[in-house]
Amino acid sequence: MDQTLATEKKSMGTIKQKGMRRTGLGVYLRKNYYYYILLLLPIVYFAVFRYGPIIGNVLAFRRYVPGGSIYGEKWVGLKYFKLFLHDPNFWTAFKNTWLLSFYHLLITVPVAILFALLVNEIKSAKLRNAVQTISYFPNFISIVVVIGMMKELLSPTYGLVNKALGMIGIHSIFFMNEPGWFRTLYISSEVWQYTGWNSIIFFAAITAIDPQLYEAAEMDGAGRLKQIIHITIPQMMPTISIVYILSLGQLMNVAFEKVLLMYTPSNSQVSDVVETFVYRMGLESSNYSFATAVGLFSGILGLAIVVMANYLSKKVTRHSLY
Amino acid sequence: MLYRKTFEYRLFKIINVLFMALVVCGVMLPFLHLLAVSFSDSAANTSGKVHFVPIGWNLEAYKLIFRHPSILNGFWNAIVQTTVGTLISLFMMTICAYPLSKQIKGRKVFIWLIMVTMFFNGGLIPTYMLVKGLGLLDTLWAIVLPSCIMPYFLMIMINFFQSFPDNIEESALIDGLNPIQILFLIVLPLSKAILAAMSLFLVVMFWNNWFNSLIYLNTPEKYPIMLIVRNILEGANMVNSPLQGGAMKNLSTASLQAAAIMATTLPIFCTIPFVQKHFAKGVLLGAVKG
Repeated sequence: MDQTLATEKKSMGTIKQKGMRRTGLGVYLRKNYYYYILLLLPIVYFAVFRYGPIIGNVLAFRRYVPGGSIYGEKWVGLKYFKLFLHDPNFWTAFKNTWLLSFYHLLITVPVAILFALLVNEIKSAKLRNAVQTISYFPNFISIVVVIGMMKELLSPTYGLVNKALGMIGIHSIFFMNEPGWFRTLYISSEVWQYTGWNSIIFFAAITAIDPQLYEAAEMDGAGRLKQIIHITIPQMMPTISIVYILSLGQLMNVAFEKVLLMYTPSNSQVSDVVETFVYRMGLESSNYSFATAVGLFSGILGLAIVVMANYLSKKVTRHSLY
Repeated sequence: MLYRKTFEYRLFKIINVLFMALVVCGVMLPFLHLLAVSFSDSAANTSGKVHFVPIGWNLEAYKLIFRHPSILNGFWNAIVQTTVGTLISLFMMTICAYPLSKQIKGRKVFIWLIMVTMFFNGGLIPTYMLVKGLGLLDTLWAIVLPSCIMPYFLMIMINFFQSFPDNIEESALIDGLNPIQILFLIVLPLSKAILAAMSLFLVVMFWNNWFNSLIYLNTPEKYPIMLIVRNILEGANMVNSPLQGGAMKNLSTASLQAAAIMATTLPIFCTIPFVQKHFAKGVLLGAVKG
């Protein structure tokens, strides 16, 4: 992404004028200071609201005293890390996070790719647009609403799904409370909500493929399926790998708001993820330092995964994020 | 024989169209069902007779939602949050993206620093502590300021400004305008597509926000509608809160919840068609090249 941003395109403000004798910083700034004036507020923003909390992670190593500094009062070393690493609740949450993220990666991206491929097969542009537009409506609605709809549709007493199951003779299931259904519901609602939207990027990648490639393949007698396997998919690889790396970065933070909304005491065994653990420990029980330590741990782990995935992707597919 | 003529391909096409019809139904039917529930009689709802057509016309749920002071207040709060948030965010992202689309010194460092925050953020607790430390708790600014520059959106805007034709700006520079004037008088008026796309994303983001309000706001009078809807859906606050009383007697929980869902989702659905032609372009500008 950075490379595309860095396209060497000289823009007017910065072209060095010939015959200018001094090219020192003073001269440069006199010519360009307007840009830096514009950047002042954003720099303050990033320093305070983005890097402030990153520095705030020192709280993980310091003891917080109520009413005291938000950066803690006293160094305690790795005490809080040891504390949560010995906490079985943390490991349950950790395992749940990984499983949820793993299934998420395994299912949502391929579904989006498949959807893009199938939409591409619709020849009528009008129909294609209609399908696409409708498919990304759910992307814009709140998670609160999605979970609300799920509760409504899956209600054991009046929900549409259980009525349908009843018709074929299956007893009604209290889906939202059943631990065994939690992951399925989580993933399938993700698919329902985001497939259309996620497929936009893949669809664009497909339309960008040179049609001559297909013509050549057709001459060689390749059918549609062979064309997809030998042309479309390889041509989409850069996009696919970048999407995967980007979503790997999110591995440790599953859609936490959603999990929080789906959480019920009876499914807590599978629905407690690292972020909800942090939320409960930190904001509900005011163990700020402890929760910060957990958050920092998972943040660093997430970062390490991105770096590793990027490295692997560079080696294997020669496509990378940076 | 070309594959287009084969029987298999035709069959595939038919199946594909059927599948797409299924997808469209899968997206729309839940909404239709909820719409039907929201207009239905409570007896019909609790016995699960309502499918996609309302049974026993009943407007009580909507009356309750549009007359109840604390719900109306929630709508107002959400409108304020969304408007202020979107405007500040658009302004901040514009003044950040424009200079970074030029080859100024230090640009690479700054972009790198922004990218880092995409993958490594401060985390829930340090962010909360910061907002608390700045004294922003229980104010609108706690909702608006921390999320006013979204790095991903910012990258899209930088890409957009980079593709902006240079010669327009050059002639303006020769006419004696400075870069700030050029940005606001010339570039922005010509950037409606990206501004429309960004506005939609931001409006949706702020309108749908409930979690930030949950953790940063303490006074229920300041809650935005989405947090109130969440409380209604949780069911906890409904019986003993402001919503109790005579209004509840022939109103099922289901229809109240459905009406709440519809009332908060329809505004978003009504905005999409107007900006739709811009946003696919907008999102692709940043995405595909990436």
